[in-house]
Amino acid sequence: MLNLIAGEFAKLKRKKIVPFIVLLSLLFPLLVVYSSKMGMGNDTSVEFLKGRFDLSYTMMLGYGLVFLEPCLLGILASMLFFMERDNDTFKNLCVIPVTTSRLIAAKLSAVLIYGIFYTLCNFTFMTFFTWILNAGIIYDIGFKLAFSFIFGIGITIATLPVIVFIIYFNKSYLISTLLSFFYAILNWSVLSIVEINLSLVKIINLFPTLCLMNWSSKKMLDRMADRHLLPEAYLLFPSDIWAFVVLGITLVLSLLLMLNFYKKWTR
Amino acid sequence: MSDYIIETRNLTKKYGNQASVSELNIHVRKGRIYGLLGRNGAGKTTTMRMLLGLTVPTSGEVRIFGNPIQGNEKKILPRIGSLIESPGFYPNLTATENLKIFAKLRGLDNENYIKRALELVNLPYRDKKLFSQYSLGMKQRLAIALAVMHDPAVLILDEPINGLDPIGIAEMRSFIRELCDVKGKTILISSHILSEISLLADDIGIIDHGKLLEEESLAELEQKNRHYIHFTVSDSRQAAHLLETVFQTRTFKIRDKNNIQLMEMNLPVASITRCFVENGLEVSEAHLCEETLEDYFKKVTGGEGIA
Repeated sequence: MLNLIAGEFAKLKRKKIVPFIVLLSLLFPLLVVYSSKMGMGNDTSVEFLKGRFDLSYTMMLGYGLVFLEPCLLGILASMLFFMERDNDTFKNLCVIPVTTSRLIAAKLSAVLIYGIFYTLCNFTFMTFFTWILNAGIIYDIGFKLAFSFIFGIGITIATLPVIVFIIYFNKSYLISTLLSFFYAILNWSVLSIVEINLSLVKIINLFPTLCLMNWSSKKMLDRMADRHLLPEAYLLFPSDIWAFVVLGITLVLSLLLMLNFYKKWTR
Repeated sequence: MSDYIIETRNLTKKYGNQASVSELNIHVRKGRIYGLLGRNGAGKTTTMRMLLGLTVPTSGEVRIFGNPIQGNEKKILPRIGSLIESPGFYPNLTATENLKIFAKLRGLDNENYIKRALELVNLPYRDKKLFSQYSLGMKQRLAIALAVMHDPAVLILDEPINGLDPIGIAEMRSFIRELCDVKGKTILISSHILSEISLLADDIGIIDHGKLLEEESLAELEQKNRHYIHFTVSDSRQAAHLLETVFQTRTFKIRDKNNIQLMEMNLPVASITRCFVENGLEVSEAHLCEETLEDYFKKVTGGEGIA
């Protein structure tokens, strides 16, 4: 299995997606930290400066990862999943033999590793820029790093539905990219609708990405130095069990569908 | 255990109502080259795909090394090298990088396997050229390198000379021959090019419209080839009479009023011609004819020929 996963990484050699991921994980934190720095004012209290670091971190999670990462992982997944189709290499793998389920597992593992890598890169660069631009006090690094790691796993699982659609449609990279963006826009739209009409708050956590975002917010809130949230915001937070069930169902259902669709078009 | 390394039993593949391969029974013996000959669309590739488990048969069975392929893939497939249809590799990688991926999946950690395979097909090891920059011939060579890299006992090669230049074809031919003669590999090769199969194969199976029409050794096929002497004369009936009375033979065939074919090759052509002329016949043509393999295949396939 390790060889299969290593193979998936080797197949991406010279593909521009990898430097693109690194570049994006560099630029977005810079943007986030810079905007946090702009809103600092003259307050130099420790609590406030810690709050700025927390703000940068939550913005990184909320915008950079919740909405950008599924797009990125969707594009990456389409490259990995279409690779065998486009290059007619599936037959070479089958005669080794490599089963479809093992191949899917390897491809998803590669997506997961990239997901975690991107999340950790984001965090590392965000911390680095906070230090360079003096945009807050860096603290609670261990927790934030570990949380980024968990978040990386969560967001990869939350991205699986879009990968299912990419495999189902089995079209070009452009369609896959559009599907990934559509998924991000869908999440944004649901979030916007709920913000307008809070009675719909219960449906928001049925969406894996938003559920993960809200669950993360809840977890972060316990650690934050600065806690200025409206009481309505607490309605958004799902319980741990709810979050695990939603992501668990997403994972199982997506894997079953992927296996079914991928087998269909490689038969 | 069966004497055959590869054997199919009533192998059938249907797409909808259309049978791509129908009741196919092929038998590949150990250490021999079996040529599956057929026109484009005859069902060669579908057959090979079924042999490798890439396509599930509608009915029938594939047995390799005496065991059914279905359910024994993990045991059987690592002992087979294959090239099916076009060479499939990752265009953004070099030949060595491509082979490395597959070598690792086959559990070949030693890079010597890759080096040796590339040397066998005359491709450079650790070359910087990407697969996407390869010519069709080079791609085909790389596919062969992949097929032989793990030193399999059996090779299943679907149209391996596709895209090769004449020198490349000759090299490939001697390479495949050597694999069989020196290394004792059993090879199943498909082609729509008759001359290639006749130059390479020990046994030949002719497939047409998904059905196996003939399966024989090349030697047997060659024995079937008819040799005859063709005469064009003013009266073929009189010529026949002379052959019967003077030369005591009945092995001839009157084609029409002026043409007659003598099957017995031992009789002297000059004497026959002189006899015909002395008996008042005009002889405008007398020559040795050979029914070629192609003629034979045309006959077998219903007159459409192979390539």
